[in-house]
Amino acid sequence: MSNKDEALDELKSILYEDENNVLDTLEDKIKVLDFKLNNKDEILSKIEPLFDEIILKKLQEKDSRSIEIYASHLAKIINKSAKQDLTELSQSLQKVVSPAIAKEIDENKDKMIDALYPIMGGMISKYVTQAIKEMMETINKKIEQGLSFDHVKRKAKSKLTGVSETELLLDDSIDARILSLFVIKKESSLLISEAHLDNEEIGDAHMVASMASAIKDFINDWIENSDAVNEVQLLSYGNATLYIESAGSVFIIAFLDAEPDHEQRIKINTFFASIVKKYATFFQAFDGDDSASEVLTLSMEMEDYIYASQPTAKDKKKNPAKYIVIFLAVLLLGYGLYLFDGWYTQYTLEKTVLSQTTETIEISKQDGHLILEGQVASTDVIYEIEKIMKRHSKESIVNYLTVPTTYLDARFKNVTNLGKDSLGSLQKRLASLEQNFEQTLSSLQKKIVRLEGQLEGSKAYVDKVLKNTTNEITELKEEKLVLKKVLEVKNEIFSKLDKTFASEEYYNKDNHSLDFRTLTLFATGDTVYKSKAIVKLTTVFEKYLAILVEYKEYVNSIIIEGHSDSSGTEEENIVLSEKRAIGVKDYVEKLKVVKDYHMQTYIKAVGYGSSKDVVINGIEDKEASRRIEITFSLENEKILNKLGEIIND
Amino acid sequence: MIRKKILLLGDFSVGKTSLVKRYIDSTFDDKYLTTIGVKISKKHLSIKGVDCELLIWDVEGSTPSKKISLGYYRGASGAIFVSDLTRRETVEGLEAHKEIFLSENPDAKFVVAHNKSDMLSDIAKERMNVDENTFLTSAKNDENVEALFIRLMENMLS
Repeated sequence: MSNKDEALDELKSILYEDENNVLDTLEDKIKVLDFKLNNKDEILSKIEPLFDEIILKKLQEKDSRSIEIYASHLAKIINKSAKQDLTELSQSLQKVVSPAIAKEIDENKDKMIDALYPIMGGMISKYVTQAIKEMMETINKKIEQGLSFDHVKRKAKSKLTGVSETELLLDDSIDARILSLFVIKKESSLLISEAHLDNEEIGDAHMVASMASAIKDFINDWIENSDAVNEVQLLSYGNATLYIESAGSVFIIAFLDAEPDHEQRIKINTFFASIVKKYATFFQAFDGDDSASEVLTLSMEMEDYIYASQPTAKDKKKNPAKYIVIFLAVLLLGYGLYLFDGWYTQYTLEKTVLSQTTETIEISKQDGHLILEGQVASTDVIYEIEKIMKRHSKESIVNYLTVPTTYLDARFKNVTNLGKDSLGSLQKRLASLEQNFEQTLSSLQKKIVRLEGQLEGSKAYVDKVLKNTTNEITELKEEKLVLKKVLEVKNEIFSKLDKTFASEEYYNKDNHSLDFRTLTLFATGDTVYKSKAIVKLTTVFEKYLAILVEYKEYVNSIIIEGHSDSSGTEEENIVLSEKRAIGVKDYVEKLKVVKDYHMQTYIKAVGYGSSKDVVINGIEDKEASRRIEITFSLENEKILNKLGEIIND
Repeated sequence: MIRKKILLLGDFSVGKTSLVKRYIDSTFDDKYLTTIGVKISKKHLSIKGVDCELLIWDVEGSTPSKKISLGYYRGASGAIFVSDLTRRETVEGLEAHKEIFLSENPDAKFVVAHNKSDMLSDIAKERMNVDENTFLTSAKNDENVEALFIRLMENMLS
């Protein structure tokens, strides 16, 4: 290489230093990536977390395909894992499963119990059975130390037959009879379904169910207060026993005639488990409406179970060989003891019957049955004796008891008489009711006739009143029209007068009359008018009359009013004023226009004396008081005035 | 038939038992009330053509020395809270009864009976602030007793 090339390389290295550094870094990174791409462990470490995330996401989304694939593999994995190391697998699962179950139980307690009860019930039953075995062994030990007569008898039986005393003890106890079954909703205490043996129905079952729940709650509260952990399961009172089993959302009560033994409890529990499993959903949803079909089907199932669980004669003889051995053993021990025992039982029963009923009967034993013989006072006593026998003996009864024929005759007669009395009473009652009915019917018919008459009378009266009212209204309407017309005429006259006499000195616009107070018609105390003045009055009057004659048919009168001043006595003034008015009337009646229109009869003269004297500023204008006024009135003017007020209103 | 469990709640001597005696078809003996703190009665009624039966739990009033089982409260669809109008403290005490009842049965319905209204004047009755679910009752005069139970049943069926 020449010096020139070296110099060039050096120059390049200086110029490209930064780029070369970047290239070196990139080369290193490529080497690392190349390693990672070709190294399996490295790839797995990167990919595995991603797979975990994908699987978790798929499972959380409940992707059906993924679950199907994983499920098949999961089963194999668990199986394989279990073969390899079961302990480790159990520990691993326990960490997950236990909290999950605990959480589920906490959140859905009733549902979990309903689901688990059929399994757990069985497990508990097995546990209880084991416990009973252990308890029976303890009892055996106790029996060894006992000295009662029954114990001695049982011990002898055991020795002779080879059957253990425990078994003999259990055989002696016969299964309690289930009389009724109740299924009760735990939360509300409402009875869901019930079943009974015939003639063992419980009256007001719903109230009894509620009360049983309340008593159970009451006792449970007491148990909790006493730091015990169990719920009440058995309640006994006299011969009655309630066996209570709590399961999920319900509890079931069996009413029995004695305490159930452990074997019987297990049987009952198994049946309870089966119905809880079958009806769990229905029980949870029950809200008090008993119309659902499940109520009936459940009741039928329970009834079937009650009948199937009844102890039968067959049950009692389910081990005949044992009975034969016992019989032979007893025969060997001594026939006398056997007879004594039988006699003692019969004697005890006879004595009990005597003390409770005062009746003497004979009781004997034949073919395993108790034979009752004798005569007693009544059939009621027979029933009472049967009850006593059932209470004191578990053996079947053959009843040959009789009652006196006189009792039967008396009873028959009593019943017949009762029937006759009842029939007679009913017939009387019927006759009385019929009579009452007829009387009531007759009374009602009369009432209807009377009411119909009243209705007709009322209708005629109403029609009459209506007709009169209609006529009156029509007349009033007609009168109103006439009066309205008159009113219009009056206003028309006034209007014409006002117009004609607009500038007339002697016209009073306020009352539409002629007022001649400024015309000195008479001298003081004189009744003779002045000639010039009367001419002037005539001129104005003729114009006034010319308007009135146009409405002659409506005009009632034209009034000439005479007035005087207050000088002299009022009697004199009245006479004076009247004379003045008459004087003017006489004059105007003779006018041609009056005669032409035949208005003489319309003109009236009235004297007012000084009653309407003219007073100005408190001083009488005597000259003005001595005056003649001429005015007019129309037909019906009074009514018209009133109507005017009404119309204006 | 629709059956509902209802409770009668209120202080001592407010007249719960008298109120129920006025109304029921059948009942258990009073001795259960004093023995276990509850007495159950039954009443059949028809609401708008629907056959119903009320199982009425007459619950004894609790005292500091005698607590009532919460089991009695559970699963009730309704309650009647009863007070004695002549004793103010029994009216005020209703809130405590309501609180306990509703804590066990949040969705249940209830009505209120201010009892012994026969002891009040007409003016005093008018002054009482009552709504559609509150009644002035008198077991003595049979006033509003039936209306009280019917209203509760109607509320429970609505």
